[in-house]
Amino acid sequence: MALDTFQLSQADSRPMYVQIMDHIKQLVIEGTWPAGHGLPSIRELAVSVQVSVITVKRAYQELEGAGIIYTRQGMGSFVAEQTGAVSEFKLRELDDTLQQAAATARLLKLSDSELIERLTAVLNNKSTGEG
Amino acid sequence: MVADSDVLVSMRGVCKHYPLFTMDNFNLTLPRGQVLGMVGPNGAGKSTLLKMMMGLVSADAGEIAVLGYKVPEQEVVLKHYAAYVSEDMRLFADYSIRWHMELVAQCFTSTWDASYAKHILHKFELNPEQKIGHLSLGQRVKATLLLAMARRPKLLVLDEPSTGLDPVARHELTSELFELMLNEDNGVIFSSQFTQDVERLSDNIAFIDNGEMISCLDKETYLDQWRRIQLTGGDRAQLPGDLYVTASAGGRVTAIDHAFSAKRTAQLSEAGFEVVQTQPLTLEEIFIQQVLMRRQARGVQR
Repeated sequence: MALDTFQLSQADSRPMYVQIMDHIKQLVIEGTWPAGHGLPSIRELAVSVQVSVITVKRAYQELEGAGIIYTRQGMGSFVAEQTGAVSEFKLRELDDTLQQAAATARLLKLSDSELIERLTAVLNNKSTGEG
Repeated sequence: MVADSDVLVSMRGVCKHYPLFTMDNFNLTLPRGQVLGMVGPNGAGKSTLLKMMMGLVSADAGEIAVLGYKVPEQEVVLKHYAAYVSEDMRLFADYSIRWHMELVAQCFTSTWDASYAKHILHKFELNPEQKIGHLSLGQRVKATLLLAMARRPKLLVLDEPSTGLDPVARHELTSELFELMLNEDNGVIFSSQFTQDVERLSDNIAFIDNGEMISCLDKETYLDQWRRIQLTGGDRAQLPGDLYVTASAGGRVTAIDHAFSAKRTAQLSEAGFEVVQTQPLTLEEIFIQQVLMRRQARGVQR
C-alpha cells in the first residue's frame, strides 16, 4: 500500500505539509495514483505518517487549490484528471534533470552541439555508449 | 452517556488565585477529534489548568465543561470517559502492574479493554508481574499511561507525559496517541516540555505563560507568521513598530517578525531597508521569543 511509502523527515527543511504534498504529487506523476484514485482519509493518513490531522488537511487543501486533487463532500478526496499543475511540476523536474545533464557535460568539456547530439541519440533510442 | 457535542473541553472565564499565581478570565476550547498541545515555562499554570479540567482543583470562578459534563458538579461521571495522567500520580509501590490493571478494570468495567491493555503492555515492554517500586521512572510513566489508555477514554488529559521517557519510549508513546486519534470522536490535551512532540502531535498549540494564554494557533500558522529578518540600510526609527529587534551591529539589524507576509518585504524596502535574509523559526524559537517579548513589555511597564 502506498501509505507505507510515506516517509516524512523532521530533518528535512521543507514543512511537513509540503513533504506530504510532494509525496502525493510524486505518486500522481508516477501513475501509482491515477486520475479518480481515492486518497486516504485525512485522519487515516495523519495516523499512518504520524503527523497531526491539521497538517494533512493543509496539504490536501493546497493540492486541491492547485487542481491536483478534488474533494467530494462525504466521499473523500480523489486524484483529478491530468492537470496543468501536475504537468508544470513534471516540467520542473525535467528541467532539473536537464540542468544536471548540462553540468555533467560542462565537467566533461563537451560542446553544446555534442550534448545535443547525445540527447538526439537518446531520443532516437540509440545507444549512447561505446559501440 | 456522553453528551453529544462537538466540543470536548470548554473553559470560560476561569479564574484561579494562589499566593504567587494569578489566572484571570481564562478561555480554552478543544473541538472533537483534535489534539491540543500546551507549552509553557515552569509555573505557567499548565498543570493547574489540566487539574481544573478534571475537577482535581476547583476554579475560583468561571465555567468548565468537559465532554459536555459540568465540572466539578458532574466530575464523577466524567471520569468514566476521560482519563488523566500526570507525573505525580501515585501507584502502590508494593503491588505489581497486573494488580493495578485488575484494580482499574474493576473500577471501569464498561470501558476497560483487556486486549488493548495486553497490546500496550507488549509494546511498552512492561512485565506485568513487576512491582511498581521496582520500576524505573520511564517504566512507571509507561505503566500509568497503560492504565489510562486501556480505558479507551474519549478524552485523554496528559500532564507532561514524555518527561522521564527516553527517545524510543517517547516515540512509542506518540504512536499510541496517534492510534487513539484514529477515532475522530476522541481528543487529547497534553502539556509538554518537548516542543518536538507537541509539534508532531498537536493540531493546535497553546503557549501559556504566567497564567495567561499568549496564543493558541495551529502549527502551520505559527510557522507561516514568524520570521527572523536581517536588514541593512534605512533608518532604525523607520522600522515598523511590530518588529522586535534582537541584534544590531555594523549597520545590520536582526529582527523578529510575528506577522510575516509577502507585504512585509515591500513595506521594508519602501521604508528604505534592504532585506538581506528571511529565515523561518522553529516552534521552540517562536515560543521562547513570545515569552521574552512579553517579559520585556512587562518590564517596560513597571
